[in-house]
Amino acid sequence: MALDTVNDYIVSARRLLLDEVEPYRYPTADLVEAFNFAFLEARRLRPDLFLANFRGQLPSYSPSNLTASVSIDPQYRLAFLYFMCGFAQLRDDEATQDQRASGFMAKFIAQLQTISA
Amino acid sequence: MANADFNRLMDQLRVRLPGALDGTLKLELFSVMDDFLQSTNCWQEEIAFEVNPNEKTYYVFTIANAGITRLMSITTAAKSPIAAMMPEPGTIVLHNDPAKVETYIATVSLTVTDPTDNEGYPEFPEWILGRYANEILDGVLGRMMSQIAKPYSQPQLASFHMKRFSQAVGRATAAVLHGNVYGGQRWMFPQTFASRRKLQW
Repeated sequence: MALDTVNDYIVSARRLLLDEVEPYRYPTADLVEAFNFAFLEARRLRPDLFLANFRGQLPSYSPSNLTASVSIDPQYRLAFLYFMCGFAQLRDDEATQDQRASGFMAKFIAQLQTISA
Repeated sequence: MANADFNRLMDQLRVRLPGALDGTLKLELFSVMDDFLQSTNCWQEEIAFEVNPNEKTYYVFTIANAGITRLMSITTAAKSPIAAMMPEPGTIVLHNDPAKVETYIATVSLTVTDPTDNEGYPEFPEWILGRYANEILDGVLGRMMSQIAKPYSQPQLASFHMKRFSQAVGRATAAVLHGNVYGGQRWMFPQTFASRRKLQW
């Protein structure tokens, strides 16, 4: 299935960020950090995604283990990918990047909360 | 392994609630079944227990993976009614001391309890889902649609489904009271004189 491991998310994010050639503009560690932040935000917006984690900690991933499998419901995997891209682009201060960043972040929220996003 | 009725119910819910997670559906299904069973008393079990003279309080347990909701009746083995109450689920307090050692039969109503089965479904008799599938569907839809900030949040439809569920609970309660007989009553002829007296305190 698509987007099964941390690496799947990194590869797909790089494609959307147009950052597929080394040296990377967005280091892998930064993208993994953005991925981990997506869980914090998703926990706030959609607690039901984390039923299995209510009596434990939220999932957290390390750049040293990119083959770790990620247990996000298939319906919401793209939303996490959009958050990664949006968060990565937030650091850019060009106007066009800001728009893309806010677009990705808005899409992340909309996908978690609405049908038609 | 979920049976065909569970699979059909889950498929209907998945189709009607885009974006819903199976875990959340099962969580709400548990609440709906608890509400339905506690309101209708449609899941009942007879529990035999031995009584002794000078002892009024007894504790009964169900063999099913279920919680006791309330006491429906107590009779002797010869079907004579006994006055009693259940101040806490599972605790029976007789109104009068038993005259001798004998076996009483308590009929209790049951509801779902933890643990659920290995797939996360609450355990209850299969016939209930077969008989009340649409009613249970309405209950789960109503509860799911009443959640906030979800793709399937629909306050108006939630109200519609909860009203239908509430009506269905009323019909099911009446069916239980009538022994699931059209126009029927639970008592059977011939009644003994004793069974007509009021059994409450």
